Amino acid sequence: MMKRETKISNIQIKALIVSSIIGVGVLSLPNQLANAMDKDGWIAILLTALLIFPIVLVMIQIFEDNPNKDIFQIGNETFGKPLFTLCLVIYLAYYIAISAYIARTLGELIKAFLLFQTPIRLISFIFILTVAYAAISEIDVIARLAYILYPLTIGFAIILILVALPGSDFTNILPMFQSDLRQLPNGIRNTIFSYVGFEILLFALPYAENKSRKRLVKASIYSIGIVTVIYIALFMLTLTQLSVAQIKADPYPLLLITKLVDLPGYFLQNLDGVIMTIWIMVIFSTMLPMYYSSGKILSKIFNTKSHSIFILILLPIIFLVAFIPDTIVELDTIMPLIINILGTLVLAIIPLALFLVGRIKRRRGRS
Amino acid sequence: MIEKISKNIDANIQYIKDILRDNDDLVIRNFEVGEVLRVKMSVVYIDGLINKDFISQFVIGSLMREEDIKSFTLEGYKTTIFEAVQKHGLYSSEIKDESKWDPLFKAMLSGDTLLFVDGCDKAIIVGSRGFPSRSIGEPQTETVIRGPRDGFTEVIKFNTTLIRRRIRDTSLRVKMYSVGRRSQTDVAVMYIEDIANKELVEEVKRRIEAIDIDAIVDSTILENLIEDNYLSPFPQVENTERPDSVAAALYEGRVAIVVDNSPFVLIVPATVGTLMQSAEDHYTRWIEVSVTRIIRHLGLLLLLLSGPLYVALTAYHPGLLPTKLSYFLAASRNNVPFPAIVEAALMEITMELLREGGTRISGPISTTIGIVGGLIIGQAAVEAGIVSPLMIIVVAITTVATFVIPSYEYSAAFRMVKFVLFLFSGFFGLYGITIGVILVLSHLAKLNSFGIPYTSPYSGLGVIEGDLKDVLVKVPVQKLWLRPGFTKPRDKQRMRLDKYDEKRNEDI
Repeated sequence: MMKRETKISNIQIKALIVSSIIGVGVLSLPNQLANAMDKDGWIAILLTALLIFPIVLVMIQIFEDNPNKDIFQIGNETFGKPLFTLCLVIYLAYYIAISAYIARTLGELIKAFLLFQTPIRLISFIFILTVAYAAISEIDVIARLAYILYPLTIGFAIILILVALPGSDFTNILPMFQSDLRQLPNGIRNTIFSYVGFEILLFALPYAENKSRKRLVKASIYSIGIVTVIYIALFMLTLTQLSVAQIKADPYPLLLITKLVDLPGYFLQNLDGVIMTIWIMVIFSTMLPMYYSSGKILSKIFNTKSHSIFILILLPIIFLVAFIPDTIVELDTIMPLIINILGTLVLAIIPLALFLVGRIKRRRGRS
Repeated sequence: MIEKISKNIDANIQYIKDILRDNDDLVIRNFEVGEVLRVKMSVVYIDGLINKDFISQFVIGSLMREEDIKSFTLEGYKTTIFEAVQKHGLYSSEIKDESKWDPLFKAMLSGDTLLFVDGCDKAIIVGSRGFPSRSIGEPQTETVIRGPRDGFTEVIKFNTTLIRRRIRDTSLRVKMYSVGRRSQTDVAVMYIEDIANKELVEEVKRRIEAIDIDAIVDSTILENLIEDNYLSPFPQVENTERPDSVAAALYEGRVAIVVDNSPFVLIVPATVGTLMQSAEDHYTRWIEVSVTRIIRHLGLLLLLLSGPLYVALTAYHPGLLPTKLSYFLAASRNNVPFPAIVEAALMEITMELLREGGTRISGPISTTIGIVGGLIIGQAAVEAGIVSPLMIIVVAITTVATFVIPSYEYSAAFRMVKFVLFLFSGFFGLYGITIGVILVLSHLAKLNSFGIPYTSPYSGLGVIEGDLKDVLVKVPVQKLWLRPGFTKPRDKQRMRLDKYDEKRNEDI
């Protein structure tokens, strides 16, 4: 067969970022924000986006500093093999935790909204299996899938907004700036969870077709911008539909809205079936890059050519981790906490360290 | 096996007789040429493959009657008898000399005539192919309302000619191969050199050269041999009976593979975009094409999803339907003793039976099958209470939807996928359907057609070049000024708008 070069185009990178970020967190985001900041949750979203952006720039800069190398080579050269392997293990733990969280949440929600009698374990297991099938392939296939599915991610938001628009009460958004700004860190802590996923850049950037810094920065501004707009729009939408107290009480206010809206024309009674279907695809495109990256990490640690065997090995691990918490309440308290801790390491600290240590080493080498 | 022919004509003739023993259609005509020299010559051919009149008149006739040859003596000339025959003796426009047996036999079995001259260690191959063939007719599978009516036949030379007539470009290439150890089937790879991507052309050639099989009976076999993923249900090579479609594809930078004895020409690469285009699309106004294309894609969705959705909604999620429809559905299924999935399986199997029966049987009877199957069985099944009327509607829609997809193989692949989706929806309802759709999308994303992503342009390649303007909808020709990007053409520009506008403004 022809030796295929694994390459990702710029538009695929945009899609990859958008679909990696928007995922399981989107349904519960309004609830978490309202809990932290009442009606001013959108400030937290905006600020988080501004916080995320420098990190993305740093990631792009890392690859600018080390042209034609992938993250594994760069890490080994900057940190040394033992330390970087530890970093990789942290990444792995993070990916497993987040994949498990996604699979479990999916199982719980499908059981609550679509399949009332099927066991949750079976639902989650099938989902992990589906993701595994796609994750066995290389990054270019994953980028293609991300590009195919990302109109759905945006369509998901647009459909929600369109159907809810007739019954919206925009006065509900006001008054703004009423909340205690000291709650802001708390709000940001909650929104960061909704922004995880962009670290796929670390694994995807070396395969970018066009490595010009300007293009990549543009692509990431565009995609993080889209995510932010969608998040703010959805948060505002929830405010126009429900009272703050309702949002605080329901863990998935967006699904509540879909149940409340009646479609004109009465073709479907309520939209939650449609929305759930699209949502499954949306979180599939979120979990896929993570599952893929964890397989890649393992294959680099054990120095194998293909990562497909590790995808299979990871399958039961993710499944078992997903069912460590007993109830959904436990799941929603423990898992985000773990993911937040690991996420801070993975998203901010390790990339920043990689960048700084690399720079310092380089300066020393020069002098 | 002797490799080269000998100087002795009798030995050569004997050798041919030995190798092709028990072949009574082998014709050997011995004669002598020249009143002076009396050189022994033999014409050897297979009866039926050649144009006999031509050989009698312009080979044997010319040699025996031509004055130069008649009175030919070697004295005073610096040539041999062989050269004299080659240069002065034959009226034929296509001759070649050859000393090895292998190509000689191959030429003879392809319909050429061999001319042996005594005392020479070379023989002459005279092009004389004239076997019975079908004349060029209208394509059977891809009919259009408006557009050319000529279709490919089983003869490779006719087919390449039909394509060539549409591309009078010096950079059109026709590279001939012969594939199959025993069948020695002619295969022509056609492309336009300054448009088609070089790597693509090389890859096509490489894959064809790599084939080592005894026979290529039809282009389908070649297609299966050069496909990227032969396990997939989806066809990764396009085929067509229409020379205009091939020409259009070549102008897009794709590569055509013409196989002898097959009226279906292969085109690579194929993508989910190109497989949904029909020849008619080139000849219809853009707005109509756009609507038709959307209908076609809708048909694809209906084919894939209407049945499984019926099963999922009745068995798992009646609550998702409006209350009235939900009651109606329940009432219509009141008498049906099976679960929805069994009901669906029954009707689908019946439909497949009718389809297969209708395809295999000759024309007039197949209409009867349609009436008996479609009307009587459907009606009776509902009245007997085996299936609900809604199920009949779903199956009917699904069947009609299979035919709106231009590529038969592509729609057949989706039909197969539909059965899997039925199973998924039977076990997991809407969730199962979603998982099934995701699996199909993942599979499609993994596929490549000659290194080109199968899902182009939906998966990113060619979006910048504007490929999306000619898939789900088709914009006017004036707006398609770039060639499709998914083939990575060497020459991207299809049309220069500035010139066009200038000319048009002059006229007004």
